[in-house]
Amino acid sequence: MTTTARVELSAPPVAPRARRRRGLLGLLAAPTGFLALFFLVPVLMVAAYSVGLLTLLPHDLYLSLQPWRDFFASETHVGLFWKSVRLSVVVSAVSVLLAYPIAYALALVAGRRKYTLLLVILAPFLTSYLLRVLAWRVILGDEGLIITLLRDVGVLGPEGQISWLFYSPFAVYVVLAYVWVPFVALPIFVTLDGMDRDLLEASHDLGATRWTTFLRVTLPLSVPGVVAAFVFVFIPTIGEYVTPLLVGGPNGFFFGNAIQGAILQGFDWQFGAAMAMFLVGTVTVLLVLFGRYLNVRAVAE
Amino acid sequence: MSVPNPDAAISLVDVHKRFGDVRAVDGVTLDVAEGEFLTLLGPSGCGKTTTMRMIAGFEEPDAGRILLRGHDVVGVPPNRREVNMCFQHYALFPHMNVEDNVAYGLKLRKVPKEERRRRVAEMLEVVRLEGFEKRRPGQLSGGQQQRVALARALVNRPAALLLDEPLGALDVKLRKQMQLELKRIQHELRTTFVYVTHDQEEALSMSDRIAVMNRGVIEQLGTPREVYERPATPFVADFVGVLNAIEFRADEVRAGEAVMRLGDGDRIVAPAPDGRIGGAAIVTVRPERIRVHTPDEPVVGDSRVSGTVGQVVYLGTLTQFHVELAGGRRLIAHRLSDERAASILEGDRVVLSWDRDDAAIVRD
Repeated sequence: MTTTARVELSAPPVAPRARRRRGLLGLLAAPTGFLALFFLVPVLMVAAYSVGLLTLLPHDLYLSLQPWRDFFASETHVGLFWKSVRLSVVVSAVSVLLAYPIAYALALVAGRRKYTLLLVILAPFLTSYLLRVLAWRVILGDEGLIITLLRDVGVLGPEGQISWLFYSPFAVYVVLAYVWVPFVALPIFVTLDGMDRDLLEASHDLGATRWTTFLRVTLPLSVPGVVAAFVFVFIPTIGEYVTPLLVGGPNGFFFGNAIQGAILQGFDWQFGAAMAMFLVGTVTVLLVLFGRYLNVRAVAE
Repeated sequence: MSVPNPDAAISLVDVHKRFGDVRAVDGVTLDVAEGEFLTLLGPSGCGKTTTMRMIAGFEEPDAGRILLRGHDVVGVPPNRREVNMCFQHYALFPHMNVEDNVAYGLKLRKVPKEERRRRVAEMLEVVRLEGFEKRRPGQLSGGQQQRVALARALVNRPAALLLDEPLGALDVKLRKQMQLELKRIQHELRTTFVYVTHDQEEALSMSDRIAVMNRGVIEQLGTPREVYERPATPFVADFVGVLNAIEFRADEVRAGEAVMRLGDGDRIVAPAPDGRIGGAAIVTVRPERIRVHTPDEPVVGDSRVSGTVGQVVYLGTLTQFHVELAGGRRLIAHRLSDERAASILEGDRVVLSWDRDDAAIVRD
């Protein structure tokens, strides 16, 4: 409240609201223009491809929902969509579960060193994504750490392999969770770090043990961070195709790979665009739902 | 070492607490009676908050004993101590409504739903927040949040309520109002209150007894009147806002009183019950006890000193005179703002007088 008052005091006395608004629009012009040109226009173009208003080869204009019908009729492709949804849900849930204790320890236990430790946790982001993913070959690969270790202790024979360990959906799950954990710790850390420590003492004082305090105070208050974290992972993961390509092997083929395949290998841009638009639509709906939930939480506080 | 009173709600026996090299609490012994309103008063860093946090269980003493209703609670975690705390910034749970906030302690204690509802309703009535059950803390004003915090603590019927500068975040007008409310609630429920503040006015107006703390020790423990009128140390005199403190050297000690002569017939007389005035001492006298005479008025009173009026400050009902005495001494006198007071101006010669028993000698 005091901040608002101060802002108003320091504002020029005759600053009309209109002028301030014009200033704001000026500031927003560049990012808005950028987004319109490089995000909105391409999305609209993809949408146009999916209904035949644009085509790869010169062609008379026509409107057709055939690509959409093809998609919904293809059990394989709808199945791949659900496979990707499952991947996203599991990876998001696992990342959040693994990231929560890290965020908790940083925010509530680490004390003064928490920001340094946060930087350490974010350090992997200094290396390229590709390197971080491929590094898993050293651990999970055919001659990797795990296989070698299991051979050495005799669990596996000298030529033994575990087929599901690498170039498999399992590898995709593991690598994606690994990639996302540090990133997901951030929003959870922010909500926990912003929490009034007196609340924990108040709960303790009123008769709660540490565990009850966690369940009744800390956890409910960190829900916005958890939801944000979940969404942060879910949305990029559902369309993921690079990681399956790198570590997924023959069975690590997901919806993103199907879209990529349709467009780059099959040259069926209409069909690929329909699948892409279906994905964009799903994500948008989820964003609106989650976003509303997040806002409600924020208002309540 | 003193023996704690078995009937006391809270007893501290020679309690010590260090933080690194700092002796935050350095040998505090204190009994708080059942139903008493006791204030720990002192500047920041004097150990008052640490003392309270040790009673609540958030800090453990390095040495000494803490007893709640006769039971030693050192080592008992806060959730198993029969005291509750009111936090400076209320610490209400933002994700719960008023009712759930107040019921929090009862739920944890597995109080049956019906009784819980009844006790919450009762307590909301005591703090005058009926009808606010479903509101969230964020929708309440500071004063209302304060009341919820009180209700949330008091509903558990604690052996004592600990209040950590609870009015510090409120504006002046609301603070005065809440002071009265707190007194009323304390009176109504007869709960023992331990109140921490650095505001001497708040302490004087609300407390049954005040413990004035400085550098981890209690410098004086007494009723507001005792602390204000008979400060035990120069620190207490200064902190509770005694305006007049003059260095005192006894020129004559006779039955029960000491006299300092200032020449020209001026003298300061103060009670000296033990007849022993040695070492550094100051004499204090409250401004409203000093009479201001024009030189032509007859002077009554055991002490009399003459001086020149420096500043005149109009305070409303009272007018404040800053009077310069010989030797660079200075006294402040309050006088009702009547016509006679209005006629005394800056630069006028005046004579100040007061009765022997209105002065007090304070030794270091």
